[in-house]
Amino acid sequence: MPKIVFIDELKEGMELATPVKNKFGQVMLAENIKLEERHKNILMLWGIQSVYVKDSEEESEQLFDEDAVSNAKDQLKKRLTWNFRNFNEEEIYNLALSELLKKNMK
Amino acid sequence: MNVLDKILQNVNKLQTLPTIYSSISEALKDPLVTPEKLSRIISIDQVSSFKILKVANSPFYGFRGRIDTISQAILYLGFDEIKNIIFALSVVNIFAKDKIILNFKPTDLWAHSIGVGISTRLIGTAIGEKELENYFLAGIIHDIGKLLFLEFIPGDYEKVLKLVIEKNCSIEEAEIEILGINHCKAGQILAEKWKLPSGLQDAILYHHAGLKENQSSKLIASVHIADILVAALDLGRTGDYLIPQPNFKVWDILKLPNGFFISIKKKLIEDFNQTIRVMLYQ
Repeated sequence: MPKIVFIDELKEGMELATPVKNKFGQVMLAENIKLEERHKNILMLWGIQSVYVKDSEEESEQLFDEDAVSNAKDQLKKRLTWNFRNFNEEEIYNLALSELLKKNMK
Repeated sequence: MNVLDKILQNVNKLQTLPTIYSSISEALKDPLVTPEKLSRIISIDQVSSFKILKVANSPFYGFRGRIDTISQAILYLGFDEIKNIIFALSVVNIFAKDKIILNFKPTDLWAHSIGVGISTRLIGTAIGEKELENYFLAGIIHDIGKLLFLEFIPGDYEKVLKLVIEKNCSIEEAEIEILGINHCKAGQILAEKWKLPSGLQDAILYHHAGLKENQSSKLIASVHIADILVAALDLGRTGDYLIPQPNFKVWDILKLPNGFFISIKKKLIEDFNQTIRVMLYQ
């Protein structure tokens, strides 16, 4: 899944998932290019602030037991009363749930 | 006197924006103004200069720690973005921060607004918006109507906050029921008085609807989603208990890819923690 990365977070070796285009739609860097340190300065000069890269490393999410998840879901249901209708809304729901779980752990 | 009249009367009494903002706005009317001239105007106010540099170096602008002077900030971010940073820093100081009602603090609302400002800009960047200068500011000021209510009609606003709890309804619904006007309209009145661009006025007025009368605006749509995202992540406070559902039409305007929110979460929270320190506590 492509992942958005902002220029200050770019790391050498990250691979472009989509081409980088300028404001006129011209391709400046092609898809699949492996980024090097020099690309960061070039992108900044072009005024490009984010790129999509291939997601090679999945962020390891903390694991919670079933009871904790079930309690957090019940809590969240009181504030977030709607059902998600697409993947964007599902992500917002999951982020809300994961932040709530972390808060409950503290 | 009804609430709208009270707000209109008090908006005129509100402290004016600081000299630095009016001097910059005046200087920018000259199409031949140079970065050096603007830099000289800003540098007269050393406290503001220091804060502008701190904000300009915030990670969400992508120049983390690389901007050392006001001239560099103007060069990298552009005149309009610098003017908007000055506006954002000024507006935070215009409203009192000690008017706490039912545990709802202006600083918590500012924290939410800063989170929305950062998220709005991250969304704008991700959708490839080239004119990004209003994105951060639109998020910062989207709830400014609530600050007007807290400042000028604290007694009535306490009733609104109580109704939100009693009825488990949205703050907007409670505002209409008690005050007859919501914070979106109140905020837009203030933005109009301050002669902010119409795009920013619309972002304030329509941030809950997500759309302006079925016209698609990427700025309004970005603030709408950022507002919901920041509430879901529980960054700051809005006076609302419920997290609203996005207007479904907004997804077609923004076309955010699968995994977008997950990929920005870490950056958003880091930028949020850093920016609230600079804007609210330094």
